Amino acid sequence: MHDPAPLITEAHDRVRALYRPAIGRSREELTTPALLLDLGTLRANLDLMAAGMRDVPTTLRAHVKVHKSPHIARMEVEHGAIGVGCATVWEAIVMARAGISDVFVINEVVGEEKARALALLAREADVKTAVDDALQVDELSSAAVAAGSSIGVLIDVDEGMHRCGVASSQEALPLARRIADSPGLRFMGLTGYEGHCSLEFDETKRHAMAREAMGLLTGIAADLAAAGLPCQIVSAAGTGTWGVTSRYPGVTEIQPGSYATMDGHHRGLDPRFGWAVTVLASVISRRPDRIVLDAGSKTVGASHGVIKGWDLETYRFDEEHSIFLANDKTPLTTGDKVEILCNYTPFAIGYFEAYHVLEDGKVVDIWPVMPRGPESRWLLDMLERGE
Amino acid sequence: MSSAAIDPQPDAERALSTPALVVDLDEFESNVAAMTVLLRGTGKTVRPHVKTHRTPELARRQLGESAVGITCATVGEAEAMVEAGIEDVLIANEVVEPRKIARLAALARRSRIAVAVDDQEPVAAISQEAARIGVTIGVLIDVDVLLHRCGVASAADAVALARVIERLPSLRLRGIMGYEGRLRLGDHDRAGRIARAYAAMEEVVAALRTAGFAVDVVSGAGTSTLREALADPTITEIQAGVYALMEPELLNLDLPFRCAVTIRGTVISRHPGRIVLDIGRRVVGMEYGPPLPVGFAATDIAISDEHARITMADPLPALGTQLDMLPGQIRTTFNLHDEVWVSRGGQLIDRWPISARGSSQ
Amino acid sequence: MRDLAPIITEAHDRVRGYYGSAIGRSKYEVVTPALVIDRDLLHANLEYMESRLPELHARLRGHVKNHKSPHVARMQLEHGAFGLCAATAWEAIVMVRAGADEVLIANQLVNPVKRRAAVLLAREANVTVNVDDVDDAAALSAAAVAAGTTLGVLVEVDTGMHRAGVDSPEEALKVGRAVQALPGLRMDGLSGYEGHCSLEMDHDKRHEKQAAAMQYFVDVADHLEANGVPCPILSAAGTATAFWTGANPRITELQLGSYVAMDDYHFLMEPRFKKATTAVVTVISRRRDRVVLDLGKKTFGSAEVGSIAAHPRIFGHEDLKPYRFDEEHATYEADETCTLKVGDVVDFHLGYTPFAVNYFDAYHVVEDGTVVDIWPIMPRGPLHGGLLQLLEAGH
Repeated sequence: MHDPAPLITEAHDRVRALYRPAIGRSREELTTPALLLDLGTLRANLDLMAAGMRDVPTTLRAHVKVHKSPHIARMEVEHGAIGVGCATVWEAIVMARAGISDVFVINEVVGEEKARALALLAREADVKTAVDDALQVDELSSAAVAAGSSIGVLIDVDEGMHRCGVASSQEALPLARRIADSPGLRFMGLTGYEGHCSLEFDETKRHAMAREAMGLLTGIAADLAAAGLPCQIVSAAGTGTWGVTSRYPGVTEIQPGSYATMDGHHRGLDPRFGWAVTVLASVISRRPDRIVLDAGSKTVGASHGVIKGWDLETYRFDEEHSIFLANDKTPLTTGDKVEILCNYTPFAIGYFEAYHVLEDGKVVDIWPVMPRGPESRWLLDMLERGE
Repeated sequence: MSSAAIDPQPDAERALSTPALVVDLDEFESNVAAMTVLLRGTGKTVRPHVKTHRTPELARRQLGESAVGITCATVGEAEAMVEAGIEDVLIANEVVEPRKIARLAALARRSRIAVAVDDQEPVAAISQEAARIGVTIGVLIDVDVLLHRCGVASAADAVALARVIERLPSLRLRGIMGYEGRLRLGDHDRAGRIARAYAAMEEVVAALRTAGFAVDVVSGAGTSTLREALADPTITEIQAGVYALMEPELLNLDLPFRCAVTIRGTVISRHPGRIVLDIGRRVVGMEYGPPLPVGFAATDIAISDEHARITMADPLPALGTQLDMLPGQIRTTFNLHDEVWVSRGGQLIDRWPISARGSSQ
Repeated sequence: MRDLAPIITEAHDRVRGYYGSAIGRSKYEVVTPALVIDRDLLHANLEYMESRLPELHARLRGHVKNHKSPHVARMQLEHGAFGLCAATAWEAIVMVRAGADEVLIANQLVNPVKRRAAVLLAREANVTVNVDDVDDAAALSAAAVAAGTTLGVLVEVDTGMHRAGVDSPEEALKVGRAVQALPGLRMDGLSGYEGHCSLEMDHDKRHEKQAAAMQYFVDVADHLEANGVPCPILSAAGTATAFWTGANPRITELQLGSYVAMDDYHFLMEPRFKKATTAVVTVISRRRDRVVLDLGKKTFGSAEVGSIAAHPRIFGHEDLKPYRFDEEHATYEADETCTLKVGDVVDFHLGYTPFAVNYFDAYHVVEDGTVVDIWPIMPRGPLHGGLLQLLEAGH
């Protein structure tokens, strides 16, 4: 890996300066709400995945959308990931500047500026992206030619998620040919995240669904190979299915993300990984039948969450408050700090600008969330300025 | 709601571009007040029908002591009124189509809503949609009292429908409604038709009460049958609309209302014995007859699409003079315009959007 | 009004630097997803609320949490709001720096750092805070004394929302008396936001709940007044109940916020304020039976407010049924009659804008479809972003 670029170090310095008073403190002393990252648990998760990858023929590509932390991404690569998966071109720019050279935007990149950003990034990193339509291919090709770079392109396959993606070899073949014939692009293979399987909590059913999905994906790869368009990469899997997909013949890499940080949803799918990221909140009001925390939907995200260590039923989540049912025996009182286990952590992350990083119960660092939020046009300007 | 900027010229009254619809606010307010006086002590209310003008700002000003809510003919009219802040609406019409039912139910988030029903299938669909989004919709059983248009045909049918309504969630049976139509002085068997219509309503009310249903609202009638409705013991609320603005052919009914709306035109052509105004069928509803001159005498009026050819004696008004005429039919006239000018004491003071213009869906 | 403080102008310059290349261009040329605010609709909402104030008994205290824009907050002050209302101490700091002299933190602080922020801020403006606990009040008092300032206090009353707030008139009196006796605090009255009414979609039921809530609220106030604790301020109301609560002669201030920038959720209930906040998004995939946009729940937040649907959907294609909302994608069912294609940039109804606002950095301010400015969202997210240090350093 390269060293992280100024984009990352400056952001790191900025958040460290803003939240300096927190460094050295324990959870109980922090101002809430705060996004907590437990290094010990994170390392254990990364070790566990690395151990699991030793027995399988596939490589690991860590999806960073779940944490959006250049620091966590670097640790993932240090623990054996060959590169990262991103949801947007902006995440890819940040991760490339974090020193990671293999970045795959596992999503359709549509729009002149986004295509240009991708093409400019491809000058400094090994950049890949996904397509499911000729219009996207043409736009990427023009951008790559204008930038004088080369973008790796994989075809997005829909095995049941019914979002983006082609569903058959009939659709994939002409698209693959178009990519191969387009200047500035390299046809690299297929990506087919079987995300619909992660909505199935019954393990037997989920594994069967994953196998079926992989059958479809590798079948298309075989058809493409037979037509003279071999797939160097066949990428799939999430934290809910990686055990099955990583062993499926014909799949070359897995792209899970949640394993590193976890959340309620994925704990239901693979409980071997621990909660590395939580949201610290304070009890701000204590009524006889309920407690009120200073963290609501605008902090924890749309999927809400539960309180770690306390089996309290949710009464309601408002924007800035969450209310849990209690009784007079519940020893929580006004001012107490609790940790919220988010049902879907990625929703919470987007609201914060930084992680409070904990080791052995004390804050040891502050790490930036990058890129924050959905709009990041300024990253394109940075690339255009040659910075 | 405030208007766009108006230049306050001394003769601003004559500054607008024609043809233009003008409401005299003094006359309008006087009509509204007169209705209040008529209702005082009767225990009855008026639920102004806004199809007359489709103008939320006028509708707002009809609410008050004796008028708690409005009547609409369509979901679209209701939407425009509710959007302007009116919070009690009766759609005196059947709503049957799924998309309209969805729009109807959505209105109940913003306003008290009631609707007319005469068949159990739409009733079930309305109940289902209202329950789905968490609202309650008031229901009036529509009774065919005379016109053989919509409405249940008999008291027995009304009771059967009431039983269906009672079993369904998210509905509340408020009462019944029935409309006897516009009956002018001199119309054939006027008194008999009204009497039979009201007897039919009374019969349905009695049958419903005998079957154990509360009938809080008996809604119906209009401006042309106002006197009779006021005298009838069964009717509780009167869906009168045109009283506020009036039409020439209703002036002989001995009602305390005066014409409040004119259509203003300009003399665009002038020849011996005649002038031409820029008032035609495009801007004035003709179903109850041609517009009548205001403040000038005419021996003949011929209306075409864009013109009113007025035959009159000397002295003829000069080219460019603005003259007013009384529309024969208010509701079609309003539906031809986007906005109505508002005058008070001879001065133009505002301009209000006819927001529900064209809202027939 | 004071000028905007450097922290605001610097943030404004920063976001103009990041996104200002969009100024002068059509909103459909902006890199998506982008949060858009329509300046004309903002003005229309502000002017409408202002026009209704003379007939209402209460003063307007504009809540800022729905939009979190110092620029919009300032417009609220320019259009009839005598002061502002914030959900957190950090929002309050930003809004005072945007020019507010009066700010209510309509929330319990319960944290030494946040209390310190409030008492320091009280050097610059009249700061009032919600309290529902005697110990919290005591801690606030100590902080105020240490800083040499005075905080106004409203005892929060639970009028039906079942969140924070005292549960009974007796408890309100107990807390009110405690506040009266504590140095550094000023017992200003009661806060009784009837927010549960905003969760009632039926118009008539909502009105009934509002009436019951305000009747109880006034009863609590009477109990305190009768027992030697005057309540000069009775603060309540949200946008969905504003005109009903505003017509109550006993309520002295209305703390509504959604009216300015609005969202689909409130628009379902109150149509007189127009939706000024929307998003622009791109169609990134078009399969035979569906269309996919480049925004998901990590942009618009959620498709529900509690258990009530908020209906995020596409302008001009409102009939399309949502298939699923994921993190970075929104998928809608679409057949061959749907004209949307890959690359189309379209307007998007967000459903409930406050969720989205907390994810974004800035608003693209639009007039007639053209971007005219970029306004920062401050503070971003739930962290304090260094605002406490700012106060301590006396900036």
